[in-house]
Amino acid sequence: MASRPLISVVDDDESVRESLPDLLREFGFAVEAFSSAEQFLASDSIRTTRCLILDIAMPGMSGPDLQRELILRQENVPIVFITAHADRSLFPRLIEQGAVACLLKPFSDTALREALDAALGAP
Amino acid sequence: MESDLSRVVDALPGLVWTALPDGQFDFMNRRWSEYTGLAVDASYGRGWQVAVHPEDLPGLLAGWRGGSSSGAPVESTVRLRGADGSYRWFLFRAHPSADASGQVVKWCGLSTDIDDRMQAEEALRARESRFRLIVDGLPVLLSTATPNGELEHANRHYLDYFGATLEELKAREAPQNLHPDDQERVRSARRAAIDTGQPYEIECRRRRADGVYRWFYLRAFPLRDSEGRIALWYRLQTDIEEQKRAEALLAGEKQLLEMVAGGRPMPDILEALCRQVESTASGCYCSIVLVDPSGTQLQEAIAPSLAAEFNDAVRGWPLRRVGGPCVMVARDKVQVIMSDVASDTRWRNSWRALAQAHGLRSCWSTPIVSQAGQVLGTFALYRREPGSPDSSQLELIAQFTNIASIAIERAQRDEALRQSEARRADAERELQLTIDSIPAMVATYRADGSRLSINKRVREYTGRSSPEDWSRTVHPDDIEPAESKWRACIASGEPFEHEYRVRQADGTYRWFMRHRVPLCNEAGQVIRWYGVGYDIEDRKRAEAALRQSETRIAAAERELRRTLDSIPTITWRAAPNGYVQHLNKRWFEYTGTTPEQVHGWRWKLCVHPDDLDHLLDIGNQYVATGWSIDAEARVRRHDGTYRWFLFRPAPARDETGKVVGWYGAITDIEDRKRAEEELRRSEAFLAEGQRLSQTGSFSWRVDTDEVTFSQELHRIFEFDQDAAVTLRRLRERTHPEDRALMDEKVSDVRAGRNISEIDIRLRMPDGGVKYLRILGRLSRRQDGRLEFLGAIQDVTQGRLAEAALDKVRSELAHVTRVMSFGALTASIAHEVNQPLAGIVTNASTCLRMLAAEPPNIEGARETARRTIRDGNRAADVIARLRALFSKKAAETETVDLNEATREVLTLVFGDLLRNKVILRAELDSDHPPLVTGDRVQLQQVILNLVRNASDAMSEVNDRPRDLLVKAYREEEGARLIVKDAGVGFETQGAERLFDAFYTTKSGGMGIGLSLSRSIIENHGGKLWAEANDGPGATFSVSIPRQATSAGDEGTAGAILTGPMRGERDATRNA
Repeated sequence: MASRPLISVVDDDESVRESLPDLLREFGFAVEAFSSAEQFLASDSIRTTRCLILDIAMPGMSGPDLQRELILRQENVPIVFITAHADRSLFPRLIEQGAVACLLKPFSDTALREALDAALGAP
Repeated sequence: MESDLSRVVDALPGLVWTALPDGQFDFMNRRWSEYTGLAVDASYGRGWQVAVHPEDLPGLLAGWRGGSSSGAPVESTVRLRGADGSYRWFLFRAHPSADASGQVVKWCGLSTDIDDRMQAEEALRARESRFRLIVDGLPVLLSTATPNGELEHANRHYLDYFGATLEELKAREAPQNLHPDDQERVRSARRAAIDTGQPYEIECRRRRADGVYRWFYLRAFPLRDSEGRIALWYRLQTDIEEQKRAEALLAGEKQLLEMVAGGRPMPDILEALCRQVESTASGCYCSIVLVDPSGTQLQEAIAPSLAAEFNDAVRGWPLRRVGGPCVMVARDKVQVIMSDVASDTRWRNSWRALAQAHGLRSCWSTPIVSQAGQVLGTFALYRREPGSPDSSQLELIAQFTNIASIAIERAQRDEALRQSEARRADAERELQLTIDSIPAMVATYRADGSRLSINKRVREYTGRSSPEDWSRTVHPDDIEPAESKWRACIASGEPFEHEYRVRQADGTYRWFMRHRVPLCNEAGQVIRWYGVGYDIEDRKRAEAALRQSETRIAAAERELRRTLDSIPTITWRAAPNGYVQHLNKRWFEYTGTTPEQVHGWRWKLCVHPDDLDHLLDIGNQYVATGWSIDAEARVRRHDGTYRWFLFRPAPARDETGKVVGWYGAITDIEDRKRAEEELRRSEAFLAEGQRLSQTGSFSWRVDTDEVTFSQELHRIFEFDQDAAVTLRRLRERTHPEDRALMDEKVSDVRAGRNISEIDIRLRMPDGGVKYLRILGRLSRRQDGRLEFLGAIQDVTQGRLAEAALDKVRSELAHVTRVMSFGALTASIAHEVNQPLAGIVTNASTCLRMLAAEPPNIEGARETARRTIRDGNRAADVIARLRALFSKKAAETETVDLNEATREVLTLVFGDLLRNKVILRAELDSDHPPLVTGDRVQLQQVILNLVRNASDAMSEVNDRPRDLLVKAYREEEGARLIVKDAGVGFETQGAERLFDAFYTTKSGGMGIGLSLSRSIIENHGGKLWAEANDGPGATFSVSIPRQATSAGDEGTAGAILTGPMRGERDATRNA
């Protein structure tokens, strides 16, 4: 069977790291979950990830920090930001930096699916 | 007549003469003239006197005159000169002739030649004198005694020894010359000899003139006359004092050396030595002073006959300091002979005073030197008289100094040996401890392989303390191989390495790896084996498990190969564009075609016409994208019937990822298809998963309105399991407000339109409300009829949580509006949204899993489980929020800060203990600090301050974690002080503290200093921080008795109106 597109999830919240990958697999993706930006950067998945679902507020390197780092490294991974903070003021800048979407937790599966479709360039 | 007489006179053998009374010769015979050669005339008168030797004449004349007066005859021996001038001895005799009146009138004399006799006597006298000289000169006491034993004669030596004349000695009682202890012995020996006439010999001490006794060897033997009677006893006494002394010294030396050899304590030996010396050299006091091993000071004095005070003075005396002679001797290694303490100029110090105080007048001190030349001590003789040692004393000193040296050196060697043995014993103990502490079995073995010793680990493991019979602890199955290998190693000297099982004390066995290596002597013979053993049970188990799994894998592989061989799976290979290059035998068997018939694209002929387009679409798609997609299609069997097959292609790629070909399997899924058909309608298929997730499934055959409910749905709707489910019943159970939505969706489905998920509520017979989420899809059955399949989840619990959250949110929104707590809201939202995200995502996943074909029950179960967990987590957040921001109006009451503080401290006491905080609470109960305010809020402030203080000290390890909590009454109200010894803060940063949100992650919803300050300010008080003089910080709260701002905004819901500068959780978590 041809390999499924890999989605990487980076979030310090464990329940997200548990629940989101299952949903993504239901969507038909392969998934890797990381508890920190540093962990993701150190992994091999950075090369094969087709879309990155990234928490904004994390201890250590934050989501926007990781976004900047990836841009510096010229890794053009589409990013879907997720956050539990109701503050939307950050969003425009993140989108400007190339993020595909910013989702507020809790988000619906359809919203996620739409964001992923946008990221993967599917119709 | 005269001439006759004259002839007679001349014939007489002598010189005859007559003289007048006055000595004038008046007649001489012829012989006189012949002998003397004097003419007659010349001899007349006093002329004869010239013939007498001048030395003899005076004596002669004197004797004659005496005779003249007394009238007695005169006799004298004189020398007369012969005619040749030589003198000869004559006996000169003269007889007086008296007249009637008695008057001498004439002397008649006769001189007889006695020269020869005189010569003989002279020779005898000379001989006798020489003999006497010899006897007197003999260095022995020589004497003779009467047969009764009484002294008769003695030689000069004898007399000199006793200092008396022979007469005095004869008069003296014999025993007086004998030592009292010897008297009886000597007397009885002598008596026995006299009785038996036998010679005897005996050793005895004789008293010399000066009162000193000396030892003598006495021999006495009898001299018998011609008739055999004892005429006299000879006694010969030889002085054996020196010999005796030498013997005594030798015996003493021997005794001392025996003590040394016997390992007697050195002080005992030295004391015995002193006594020995003192008994040998009478009048001397012996002292041995030891130098300490460092050679820098005196250690102690051993002198049994000297006063303790005198001996004690030397103890610890440094050699570099001036002291007594012993100090000098020890320091300079020289002998010091001080013949007179009083006059010696070298010691005009305290030592002399001390010596004199003890009556010591002379001191002879000698260094005791080891063989290596080191000074061990001094050997000194003290006397109460001045004097210097004689040669025998010097010899004695040398001798005993040597013995002392031997004794001290031996004792020091023994001590050193003892110490080294003690050290060795320590080292052995240490080694044993080390060996026992090694977490492995350690054992030693003799050359024959028998076990010599074992360490603690072995004893503990095996429960056996004896090193023997190690084989009894070996697993019976392992004994023989282990022993034979061990025997081979013993024989060859090769190291032993073997694994076997060893029995534990509890009887169970564990695998051990045993290594033993030999230790060889210089000749290369093995003298010992050293062994270690370590537990490899876990490794063994892992190995066994590995073997087992390898076996299983091998079996599985075989099985797979068999399966592949036997399963009627069709395989194929195609070019990247889909042109089929190869089909396996199964294909031809199944389709009944030949390779020529179906090569290239012609395989399509065997596919069901209805499925071909779909299959080709998918085929094109995966050729185009390179993604593998499964497809299902019916394939015609050789008998003309169609069966469903699963087409599963897999792309083959080169290194660059380009698709270079396709491999595929075509699997007969007819049976599965059928089974799925069955399964889809099965009522029980989801029961377990549904029950767990409170999700039920249903099918609705649109054409017949036949509705099938899963068991769980019956439960959710509270329908009887047996009763038929109809749309009407469903509508009735639906909440009136949602019925319109329900109707709309039903219409959609009937029209063939799919519907996405919908949320509706049920109203239950008891009036309760249930929230349902419905997800389903319209599908066309194989027979072409429409069927709506779906899942319904009871999300009431989550909804209630959400509702509660909504309520809190709205309340918070209210709070936020009133208090402008923008940042706090964000924080709360964050806390709430996290679990909500989990809930929503899990619920979505769950529904999808259940709606899948086939449904993923296990996955659904897991996600449902997480939904519940996250729901609970959300509920926790809500509970915390409720507690914190209960909208209940703040209570305004009189609060005793002491009491409030005490309650808080009770609450956190355990935490403080865990954090090793030393708490000191100064709560003035006599003057309770009373304020008016909200007790709970104030307590939260106190709690916050105490927690902060504890946290600030969590890194402090170099000082006590002191915490002072103090509350007291002030003039206008009350003051609370919380003082820690923590990390403190920069002075200029004191105000910034109140910007930061000092909470920890676990207490993420706790309140920070800023909120604390808000609370206090709303009580009309002040909260501020100061750096301590020492480490740490002090937080102070000052609250007036009555809040000044009490009234429109100081109480109730407006308690929190103070400025709140946002949460900064990250300051703690970063």
